[in-house]
Amino acid sequence: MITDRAKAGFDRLLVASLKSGMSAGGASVRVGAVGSLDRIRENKIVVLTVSSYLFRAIAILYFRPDAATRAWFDRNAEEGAPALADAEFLDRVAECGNVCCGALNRELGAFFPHVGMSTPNIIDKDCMRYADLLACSLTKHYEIVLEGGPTLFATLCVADYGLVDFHVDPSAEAAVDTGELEMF
Amino acid sequence: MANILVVDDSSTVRDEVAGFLKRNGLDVATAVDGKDGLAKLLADPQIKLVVSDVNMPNMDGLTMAEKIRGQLNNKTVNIVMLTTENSPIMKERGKAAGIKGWIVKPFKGDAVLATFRRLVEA
Repeated sequence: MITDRAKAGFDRLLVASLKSGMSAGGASVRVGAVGSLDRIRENKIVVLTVSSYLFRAIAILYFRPDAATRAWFDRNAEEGAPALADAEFLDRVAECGNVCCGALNRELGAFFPHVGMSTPNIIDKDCMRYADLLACSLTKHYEIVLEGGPTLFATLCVADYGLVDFHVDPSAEAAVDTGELEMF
Repeated sequence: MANILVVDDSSTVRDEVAGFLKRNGLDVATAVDGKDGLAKLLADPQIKLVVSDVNMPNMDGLTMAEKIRGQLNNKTVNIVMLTTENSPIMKERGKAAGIKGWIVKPFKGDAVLATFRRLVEA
Protein backbone atom coordinates (compact mmCIF):
# COMPACT_ATOMS: atom_id res chain seq x y z
CA MET A 1 0.00 0.00 0.00
CA ILE A 2 1.18 3.49 -0.86
CA THR A 3 -0.17 6.21 1.40
CA ASP A 4 -1.66 9.35 -0.10
CA ARG A 5 1.20 11.49 1.13
CA ALA A 6 3.72 9.05 -0.35
CA LYS A 7 1.87 9.24 -3.69
CA ALA A 8 2.10 13.03 -3.48
CA GLY A 9 5.79 12.64 -2.63
CA PHE A 10 6.50 10.46 -5.67
CA ASP A 11 4.66 13.01 -7.80
CA ARG A 12 6.61 16.00 -6.43
CA LEU A 13 9.95 14.24 -6.73
CA LEU A 14 9.32 13.12 -10.31
CA VAL A 15 8.20 16.58 -11.43
CA ALA A 16 11.28 18.15 -9.80
CA SER A 17 13.54 15.49 -11.37
CA LEU A 18 12.08 16.06 -14.84
CA LYS A 19 12.51 19.83 -14.49
CA SER A 20 16.11 19.59 -13.31
CA GLY A 21 17.11 16.82 -15.72
CA MET A 22 15.49 18.26 -18.82
CA SER A 23 16.70 21.79 -18.19
CA ALA A 24 20.39 20.88 -18.35
CA GLY A 25 21.86 23.50 -20.65
CA GLY A 26 19.53 26.22 -19.42
CA ALA A 27 16.27 25.47 -21.28
CA SER A 28 13.04 26.38 -19.55
CA VAL A 29 10.88 23.35 -18.75
CA ARG A 30 7.20 23.14 -17.79
CA VAL A 31 5.83 19.87 -16.42
CA GLY A 32 2.12 19.21 -15.99
CA ALA A 33 -0.12 16.19 -15.41
CA VAL A 34 -2.09 14.57 -18.24
CA GLY A 35 -5.02 12.26 -17.69
CA SER A 36 -4.27 9.26 -19.85
CA LEU A 37 -1.95 7.68 -22.38
CA ASP A 38 -4.40 8.52 -25.19
CA ARG A 39 -2.78 11.94 -25.76
CA ILE A 40 0.67 10.42 -26.04
CA ARG A 41 1.52 9.78 -29.70
CA GLU A 42 5.25 9.22 -29.23
CA ASN A 43 6.30 5.74 -30.36
CA LYS A 44 9.49 5.13 -28.38
CA ILE A 45 10.15 5.08 -24.64
CA VAL A 46 13.14 5.16 -22.31
CA VAL A 47 12.51 2.99 -19.25
CA LEU A 48 14.37 3.18 -15.95
CA THR A 49 13.56 1.73 -12.55
CA VAL A 50 14.29 2.70 -8.96
CA SER A 51 13.82 -0.34 -6.77
CA SER A 52 13.75 -1.31 -3.13
CA TYR A 53 12.31 -4.21 -1.17
CA LEU A 54 9.23 -2.03 -0.54
CA PHE A 55 8.51 -0.76 -4.04
CA ARG A 56 9.57 -0.59 -7.66
CA ALA A 57 9.20 2.81 -9.34
CA ILE A 58 9.26 2.78 -13.12
CA ALA A 59 9.99 6.07 -14.89
CA ILE A 60 9.11 6.21 -18.57
CA LEU A 61 10.07 9.00 -20.97
CA TYR A 62 8.19 9.02 -24.30
CA PHE A 63 9.79 10.48 -27.40
CA ARG A 64 9.52 10.47 -31.17
CA PRO A 65 12.69 10.22 -33.28
CA ASP A 66 11.57 13.11 -35.53
CA ALA A 67 13.47 16.17 -36.74
CA ALA A 68 12.30 18.47 -33.93
CA THR A 69 13.29 16.03 -31.20
CA ARG A 70 16.64 15.27 -32.85
CA ALA A 71 17.34 18.99 -33.17
CA TRP A 72 16.57 19.61 -29.50
CA PHE A 73 18.86 16.84 -28.32
CA ASP A 74 21.57 18.16 -30.66
CA ARG A 75 21.07 21.82 -29.70
CA ASN A 76 24.53 22.25 -28.22
CA ALA A 77 26.37 20.93 -31.28
CA GLU A 78 29.12 23.08 -32.76
CA GLU A 79 28.31 24.85 -36.02
CA GLY A 80 29.04 22.64 -39.01
CA ALA A 81 29.02 19.44 -36.97
CA PRO A 82 27.44 16.46 -38.74
CA ALA A 83 23.86 15.51 -37.80
CA LEU A 84 23.43 12.97 -35.03
CA ALA A 85 23.56 9.35 -36.11
CA ASP A 86 20.66 7.19 -34.90
CA ALA A 87 22.74 5.53 -32.19
CA GLU A 88 24.04 8.88 -30.92
CA PHE A 89 20.52 10.33 -30.80
CA LEU A 90 19.14 7.35 -28.87
CA ASP A 91 22.08 7.50 -26.45
CA ARG A 92 21.39 11.20 -25.78
CA VAL A 93 17.73 10.50 -25.02
CA ALA A 94 18.73 7.58 -22.81
CA GLU A 95 21.27 9.71 -20.93
CA CYS A 96 18.66 12.43 -20.46
CA GLY A 97 16.37 9.81 -18.92
CA ASN A 98 19.29 8.60 -16.82
CA VAL A 99 19.93 12.08 -15.41
CA CYS A 100 16.20 12.64 -14.66
CA CYS A 101 15.77 9.24 -12.99
CA GLY A 102 19.10 9.70 -11.22
CA ALA A 103 17.70 12.80 -9.52
CA LEU A 104 14.59 10.83 -8.52
CA ASN A 105 16.80 8.02 -7.19
CA ARG A 106 18.89 10.43 -5.09
CA GLU A 107 15.81 12.09 -3.57
CA LEU A 108 14.15 8.73 -2.81
CA GLY A 109 17.44 7.63 -1.27
CA ALA A 110 16.92 10.20 1.48
CA PHE A 111 13.86 8.19 2.62
CA PHE A 112 14.90 4.70 1.50
CA PRO A 113 18.70 4.37 1.74
CA HIS A 114 18.70 0.95 0.08
CA VAL A 115 17.23 2.00 -3.30
CA GLY A 116 19.06 1.09 -6.49
CA MET A 117 18.61 2.33 -10.04
CA SER A 118 18.75 0.53 -13.38
CA THR A 119 20.52 1.63 -16.52
CA PRO A 120 18.21 3.06 -19.25
CA ASN A 121 16.55 0.87 -21.87
CA ILE A 122 14.86 2.08 -25.05
CA ILE A 123 11.87 0.07 -26.24
CA ASP A 124 8.70 0.58 -28.31
CA LYS A 125 5.78 2.37 -26.67
CA ASP A 126 3.59 -0.61 -27.60
CA CYS A 127 5.11 -2.38 -24.60
CA MET A 128 3.10 -0.03 -22.37
CA ARG A 129 0.00 -2.13 -23.10
CA TYR A 130 1.49 -4.68 -20.69
CA ALA A 131 2.01 -2.15 -17.89
CA ASP A 132 -1.23 -3.26 -16.21
CA LEU A 133 0.42 -6.62 -15.48
CA LEU A 134 2.67 -4.80 -13.01
CA ALA A 135 -0.41 -4.06 -10.83
CA CYS A 136 0.91 -0.65 -9.90
CA SER A 137 -0.72 1.24 -7.05
CA LEU A 138 0.31 4.56 -8.54
CA THR A 139 0.32 5.48 -12.23
CA LYS A 140 0.59 9.10 -13.35
CA HIS A 141 1.29 10.68 -16.72
CA TYR A 142 3.04 13.98 -17.40
CA GLU A 143 3.52 16.44 -20.24
CA ILE A 144 6.96 18.05 -20.53
CA VAL A 145 7.01 21.29 -22.49
CA LEU A 146 10.53 22.25 -23.53
CA GLU A 147 11.15 25.90 -24.39
CA GLY A 148 11.92 26.12 -28.10
CA GLY A 149 11.69 22.35 -28.48
CA PRO A 150 9.30 19.42 -28.68
CA THR A 151 6.76 18.40 -26.08
CA LEU A 152 7.66 15.10 -24.49
CA PHE A 153 5.70 12.91 -22.10
CA ALA A 154 6.51 10.81 -19.06
CA THR A 155 4.82 8.21 -16.89
CA LEU A 156 5.58 7.18 -13.34
CA CYS A 157 4.35 3.73 -12.23
CA VAL A 158 4.96 2.48 -8.69
CA ALA A 159 4.28 -1.10 -7.60
CA ASP A 160 4.43 -1.69 -3.84
CA TYR A 161 5.40 -4.79 -1.86
CA GLY A 162 4.55 -3.38 1.57
CA LEU A 163 3.60 -0.15 3.27
CA VAL A 164 5.24 2.79 1.48
CA ASP A 165 4.99 6.01 3.44
CA PHE A 166 7.11 9.15 3.33
CA HIS A 167 6.58 12.87 3.29
CA VAL A 168 8.24 15.33 0.95
CA ASP A 169 8.37 18.90 2.20
CA PRO A 170 7.04 20.91 -0.76
CA SER A 171 9.30 23.84 0.15
CA ALA A 172 12.49 21.77 0.36
CA GLU A 173 15.15 22.25 -2.31
CA ALA A 174 17.03 19.35 -3.88
CA ALA A 175 19.80 18.33 -1.49
CA VAL A 176 22.59 17.78 -4.02
CA ASP A 177 24.70 20.26 -5.97
CA THR A 178 25.26 18.56 -9.30
CA GLY A 179 28.53 18.90 -11.17
CA GLU A 180 30.62 19.76 -8.09
CA LEU A 181 33.61 17.59 -7.22
CA GLU A 182 33.47 16.23 -3.69
CA MET A 183 37.02 15.29 -2.68
CA PHE A 184 37.74 12.46 -0.26
CA MET B 1 49.21 7.69 -24.78
CA ALA B 2 46.73 9.57 -22.57
CA ASN B 3 46.77 10.91 -19.05
CA ILE B 4 43.02 10.77 -18.38
CA LEU B 5 40.74 7.78 -18.95
CA VAL B 6 36.99 8.46 -19.16
CA VAL B 7 34.86 5.35 -18.51
CA ASP B 8 31.13 5.48 -19.25
CA ASP B 9 28.70 3.24 -21.12
CA SER B 10 26.99 6.34 -22.56
CA SER B 11 28.64 7.68 -25.71
CA THR B 12 26.98 11.02 -24.91
CA VAL B 13 28.87 11.31 -21.64
CA ARG B 14 32.14 9.97 -23.10
CA ASP B 15 31.98 12.50 -25.94
CA GLU B 16 30.98 15.38 -23.66
CA VAL B 17 33.62 14.79 -20.98
CA ALA B 18 36.46 13.73 -23.30
CA GLY B 19 35.67 16.56 -25.71
CA PHE B 20 35.77 19.16 -22.95
CA LEU B 21 39.05 17.88 -21.54
CA LYS B 22 40.68 17.65 -24.99
CA ARG B 23 39.64 21.21 -25.83
CA ASN B 24 41.43 22.21 -22.64
CA GLY B 25 44.66 20.58 -23.66
CA LEU B 26 44.46 17.25 -21.84
CA ASP B 27 45.16 13.87 -23.43
CA VAL B 28 42.12 11.63 -23.04
CA ALA B 29 41.26 8.00 -23.75
CA THR B 30 37.82 6.44 -23.33
CA ALA B 31 36.40 3.09 -22.27
CA VAL B 32 32.84 1.75 -22.49
CA ASP B 33 32.61 -0.13 -19.18
CA GLY B 34 34.67 -1.27 -16.22
CA LYS B 35 36.19 -4.25 -18.04
CA ASP B 36 37.28 -2.05 -20.92
CA GLY B 37 38.56 0.51 -18.43
CA LEU B 38 40.80 -2.06 -16.72
CA ALA B 39 42.22 -3.16 -20.08
CA LYS B 40 42.89 0.42 -21.23
CA LEU B 41 44.52 1.34 -17.93
CA LEU B 42 46.73 -1.74 -18.02
CA ALA B 43 47.81 -0.90 -21.57
CA ASP B 44 48.70 2.74 -20.90
CA PRO B 45 51.00 3.52 -17.95
CA GLN B 46 50.72 7.27 -18.65
CA ILE B 47 47.15 7.43 -17.33
CA LYS B 48 47.12 9.41 -14.09
CA LEU B 49 43.38 9.97 -13.63
CA VAL B 50 40.35 7.72 -14.22
CA VAL B 51 36.94 9.44 -14.41
CA SER B 52 34.29 6.73 -14.24
CA ASP B 53 30.54 6.18 -14.15
CA VAL B 54 29.21 3.82 -11.46
CA ASN B 55 26.28 1.98 -13.08
CA MET B 56 27.52 0.23 -16.23
CA PRO B 57 26.96 -3.18 -17.84
CA ASN B 58 29.64 -5.92 -17.69
CA MET B 59 31.54 -4.28 -14.82
CA ASP B 60 30.42 -1.30 -12.72
CA GLY B 61 32.70 1.56 -11.79
CA LEU B 62 33.15 0.69 -8.12
CA THR B 63 34.13 -2.90 -8.94
CA MET B 64 36.59 -1.51 -11.48
CA ALA B 65 38.09 0.78 -8.83
CA GLU B 66 38.50 -2.17 -6.46
CA LYS B 67 40.20 -4.21 -9.18
CA ILE B 68 42.53 -1.34 -10.08
CA ARG B 69 43.84 -1.35 -6.49
CA GLY B 70 43.68 -5.13 -6.05
CA GLN B 71 44.02 -7.08 -9.31
CA LEU B 72 46.19 -4.48 -11.10
CA ASN B 73 47.94 -3.48 -7.86
CA ASN B 74 47.87 0.13 -9.07
CA LYS B 75 47.91 2.26 -5.91
CA THR B 76 48.77 5.57 -7.56
CA VAL B 77 46.25 6.35 -10.29
CA ASN B 78 43.63 8.85 -9.14
CA ILE B 79 40.01 7.73 -9.50
CA VAL B 80 37.00 10.06 -9.57
CA MET B 81 33.43 8.80 -9.97
CA LEU B 82 31.04 10.73 -12.28
CA THR B 83 27.55 9.38 -11.67
CA THR B 84 23.90 10.18 -10.97
CA GLU B 85 24.28 8.24 -7.69
CA ASN B 86 24.84 9.98 -4.36
CA SER B 87 24.33 7.08 -1.96
CA PRO B 88 26.46 7.22 1.22
CA ILE B 89 26.79 3.42 1.03
CA MET B 90 28.31 3.65 -2.46
CA LYS B 91 30.59 6.50 -1.42
CA GLU B 92 31.90 4.48 1.52
CA ARG B 93 32.60 1.57 -0.82
CA GLY B 94 34.42 3.97 -3.12
CA LYS B 95 36.46 5.44 -0.29
CA ALA B 96 37.44 1.93 0.81
CA ALA B 97 38.69 1.35 -2.74
CA GLY B 98 40.77 4.50 -2.55
CA ILE B 99 38.83 6.73 -4.91
CA LYS B 100 39.73 10.41 -4.76
CA GLY B 101 36.41 12.13 -5.41
CA TRP B 102 32.77 12.02 -6.46
CA ILE B 103 30.82 14.13 -8.97
CA VAL B 104 27.05 13.97 -9.35
CA LYS B 105 26.00 14.22 -13.02
CA PRO B 106 25.48 16.25 -15.11
CA PHE B 107 29.15 17.06 -15.79
CA LYS B 108 30.13 20.73 -15.45
CA GLY B 109 33.64 20.93 -16.81
CA ASP B 110 34.53 24.40 -15.60
CA ALA B 111 33.81 23.33 -12.01
CA VAL B 112 36.37 20.51 -12.06
CA LEU B 113 39.02 21.39 -14.65
CA ALA B 114 41.57 22.88 -12.25
CA THR B 115 41.33 19.89 -9.91
CA PHE B 116 41.60 17.42 -12.79
CA ARG B 117 44.78 19.20 -13.94
CA ARG B 118 46.20 18.96 -10.43
CA LEU B 119 45.37 15.25 -10.20
CA VAL B 120 47.06 14.60 -13.56
CA GLU B 121 50.17 16.53 -12.59
CA ALA B 122 50.41 15.04 -9.09
